[in-house]
Amino acid sequence: MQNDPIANVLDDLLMLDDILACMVARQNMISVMPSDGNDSFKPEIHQIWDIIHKAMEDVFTVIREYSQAGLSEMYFRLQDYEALFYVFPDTENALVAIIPALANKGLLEVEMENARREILKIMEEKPKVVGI
Amino acid sequence: MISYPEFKIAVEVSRKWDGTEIAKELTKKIKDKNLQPKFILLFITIHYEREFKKILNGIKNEFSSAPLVGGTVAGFMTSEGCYTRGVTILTLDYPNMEISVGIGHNTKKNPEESSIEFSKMINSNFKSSAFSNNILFIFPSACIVPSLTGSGTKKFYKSKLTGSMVLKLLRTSLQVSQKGVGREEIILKKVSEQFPDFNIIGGSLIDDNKMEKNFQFYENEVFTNTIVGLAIKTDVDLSLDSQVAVEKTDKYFHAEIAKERYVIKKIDNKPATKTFFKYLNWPNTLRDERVYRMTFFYPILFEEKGEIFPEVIGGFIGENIACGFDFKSDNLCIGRSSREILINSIKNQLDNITKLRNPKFSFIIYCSALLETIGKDFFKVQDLIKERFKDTPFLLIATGGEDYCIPNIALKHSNETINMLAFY
Repeated sequence: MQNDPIANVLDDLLMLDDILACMVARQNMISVMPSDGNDSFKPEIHQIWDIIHKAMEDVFTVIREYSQAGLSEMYFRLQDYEALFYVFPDTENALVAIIPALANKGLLEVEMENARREILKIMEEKPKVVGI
Repeated sequence: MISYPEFKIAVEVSRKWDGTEIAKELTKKIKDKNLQPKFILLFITIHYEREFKKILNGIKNEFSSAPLVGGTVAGFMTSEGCYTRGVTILTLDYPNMEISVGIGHNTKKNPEESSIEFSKMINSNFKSSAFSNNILFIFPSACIVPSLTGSGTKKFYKSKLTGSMVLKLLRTSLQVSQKGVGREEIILKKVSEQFPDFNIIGGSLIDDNKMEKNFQFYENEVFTNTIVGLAIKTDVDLSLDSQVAVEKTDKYFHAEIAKERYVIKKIDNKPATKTFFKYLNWPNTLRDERVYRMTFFYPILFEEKGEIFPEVIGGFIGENIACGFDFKSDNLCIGRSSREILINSIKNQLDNITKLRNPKFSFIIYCSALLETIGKDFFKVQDLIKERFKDTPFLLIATGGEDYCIPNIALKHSNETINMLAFY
């Protein structure tokens, strides 16, 4: 994964204090993680990761159902955290980020959108990267 | 027909992380445009705090004769993209232009003295000029929320006792630690008095909307609690427009204002926080830090000479509401912002600016609260601007308060506004 350009985009996102974890994923599968895998996730996320991951799977059921109909973003809040799903158009894949519930989400959304656009560009060049 | 020399402009962006690399990338991009900078405006998001010196030194090493000012912003937009993390540089090359830069220290402690220091510095560099189109850019330090505990900032204090302690802290922290409101309205007034024939556009330098810290750049030095700025005298036609991205609601009220005129003690003779929540039908369960997802949409505003001045709520302190600058009236109103209101404001502004012709360049100062409010729809704002401007370069920065002055016509420090300066 180390030279994966999508992992590099995720690495950049993780540099932001309020991005606690991020990945490209679809149902039952995390497609791309940051370069250091979940070691680079912020420590506080580990204690809640299992329940968030379980909830994410349910969200991906909805994404799979409605992505083709134009579903582009989804959010859920769980305890003190919020999960942002930025869907890649017409796919079942999404860029996922976990942020603190009190973070300034509007500012983070701009960088999430930048990351989605960069990843889309990479996917168009190398469609096999995320297995779609 | 008068012929004018070539007006060259560079608005460049770097998304690298290392300061030395950023400086290299930006200076190379400017050199590739074959441009000799007359001045440099540099804006950086707070994520690069440890890289500031490297970036500044790298740029000044390459362009030592170009005066540089700038500071931290919540985000920015160019024709290239929209960012809330990165570095952007603006520079112009045009012979018929005189430039002067200045800095004033201790803006929170002594805003008047700081403004005079700043103004004297700018004026001392100007000789008698052949050019009559004047514009002054000002970039003061924005509000910094003082921390009661010493670590992290809190904006919702439920307890009346803690609330009264925080109010006392607010009173003293401006003088003791220079934390608290930015006092930009005082600075703007004082500076405008020193420059009666200059239009002014300004934005308060801020972090990522957490209001914990902010920095100003002057040449290759980094400062806090200062005002930095740049004045231009030129023969280029300039136009300045200001729009408020807030509408009034029908929720007018009479406020009892504290000695610090940015604090509301009572609304219609009742405790301010409780009554504010009641007027907006907000449940008590919202009475915690999460409320800041909502308050950006509902600023408190006052009116003066037919203009509305929205103020973003900075903190609920017990039963008091603290905002960012002095209320000039006791009769206030709750405002409302939304994506539609913002888009309409931008459209109006673009209509005004492009009425006669398309500008050569445009510099836009946009409230960071609006950026937080619309999130990724910031890209829609970019689409609108690009659609209208076509190939005209522009730079938009997101700040924690906006300044606007047209001598004898308008003088305004406010939140949730968009100020646009066009060079024709």
